[in-house]
Amino acid sequence: MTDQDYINLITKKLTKEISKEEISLLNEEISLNNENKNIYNSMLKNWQETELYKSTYKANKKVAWQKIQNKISVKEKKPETKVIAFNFKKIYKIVAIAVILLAMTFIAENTLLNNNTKIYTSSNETKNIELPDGSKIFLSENSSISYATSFEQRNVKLTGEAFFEVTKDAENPFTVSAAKTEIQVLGTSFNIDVTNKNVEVLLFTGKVKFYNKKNNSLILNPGELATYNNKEAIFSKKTVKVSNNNYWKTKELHFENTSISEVILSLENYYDIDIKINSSNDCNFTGGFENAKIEEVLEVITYSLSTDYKIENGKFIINDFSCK
Amino acid sequence: MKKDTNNIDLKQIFDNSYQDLVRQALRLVKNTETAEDIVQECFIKLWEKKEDLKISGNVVAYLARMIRNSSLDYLKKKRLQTSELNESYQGAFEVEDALVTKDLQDTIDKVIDNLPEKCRQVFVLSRFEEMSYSEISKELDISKKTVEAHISRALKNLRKSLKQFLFIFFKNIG
Repeated sequence: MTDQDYINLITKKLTKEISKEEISLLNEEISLNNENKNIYNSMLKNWQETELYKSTYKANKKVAWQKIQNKISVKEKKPETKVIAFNFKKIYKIVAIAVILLAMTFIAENTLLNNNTKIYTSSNETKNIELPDGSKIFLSENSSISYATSFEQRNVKLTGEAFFEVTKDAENPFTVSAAKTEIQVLGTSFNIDVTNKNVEVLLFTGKVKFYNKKNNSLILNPGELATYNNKEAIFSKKTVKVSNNNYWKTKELHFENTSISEVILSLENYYDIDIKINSSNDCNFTGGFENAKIEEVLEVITYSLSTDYKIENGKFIINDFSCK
Repeated sequence: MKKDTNNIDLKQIFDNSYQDLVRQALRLVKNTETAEDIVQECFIKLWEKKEDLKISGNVVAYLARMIRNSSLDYLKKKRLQTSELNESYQGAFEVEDALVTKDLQDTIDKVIDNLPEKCRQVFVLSRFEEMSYSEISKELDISKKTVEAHISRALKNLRKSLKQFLFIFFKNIG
């Protein structure tokens, strides 16, 4: 056996590629003389010692973790950005195409997406959004928000409806542009509903200023619903029961001494159904529902009225009742 | 508006494994910054996939696999960029000439770092990634015989360079 053959055999042993026959061959060679034994021992030792390869590297975990966190938060801010994975295992041609595609995505990202972040919802879809400043938006269906990706100024454009929870930062006012109006906030939660006719702002906590470009304005207090009529450019406000207007977000309904006719009107709206009442009476109802099916809600209401309901041609019909 | 919960505690995994994982990548790519970037990217990928992943077992092993693949991808890209000329055998690093340090760790780093690039990669894949000859041959598109030749060459270089340490080692024991 040549020296090289012997070394190859040891190599196979160390890399666990050795066959049974080769093992006995190797053992014979090792015991042949002292020199062979030394070669084997030193190679085995070297193999083990290479464990130390790059073991002096000491990580700066703090810095590394910060980098990871930053990248994650950037990706959270750009939910529209798609990650394109390239398989470099394929031939060079594909690599060339990939490089071109990569360059195109890079350009697209820099020219289009980086300036503005826009988030849409389609029908039957809602989205939770966290803005770079930590403010949260719950976007209702068929709505959209857009904002400068850098978010140097806390400004968000809204179409449709959204619920806002704004992070407090007195030095940087948070503004929402909605149709021809703006809402300025200093840390609060509120709901905005933009339609062709109106902009509605419902305030839950804090204080907001609601104004248009002509600087007509209105200060809103918690529990107040302000309406801006787009055509006539006038503001009005009224105090509302906060709970049910937020149904689309919370899926909770609360009624307190509410007339049945009003309750039914709400249910028709929220569940998008038709309800007919076969009664000339109108009583008051008190009760709450959470994530309930319309059948369950009607069950409870009709039970409290000592009557029942039926479904005919997709229409809900509440039978005659009298108030106790 | 709760933050979505997931059963992977990224921070804890990071704390326990980051340094080892960078060392793993470092053995393949040699460059510290590149190795750190690769590992950090893999953590981000893991975070992105957290919803699709139902990893109940060993997340670190999964990460290690990602890191190996990313490192190999990086080496391939690098190979495409550098010309074939640079790839030719440069000859073994003569530790006898260049050795200033008496530190075993340093010497091992130097010897392995200075192996011809293909030879080094094959050695690392076998020694640290515990890949078989046939896996390595597929990965690097070389024959199994070449794989074996590279490893035995690496071992010969190591033995030549580490002779003095073997001596010290025996002396210490004796």
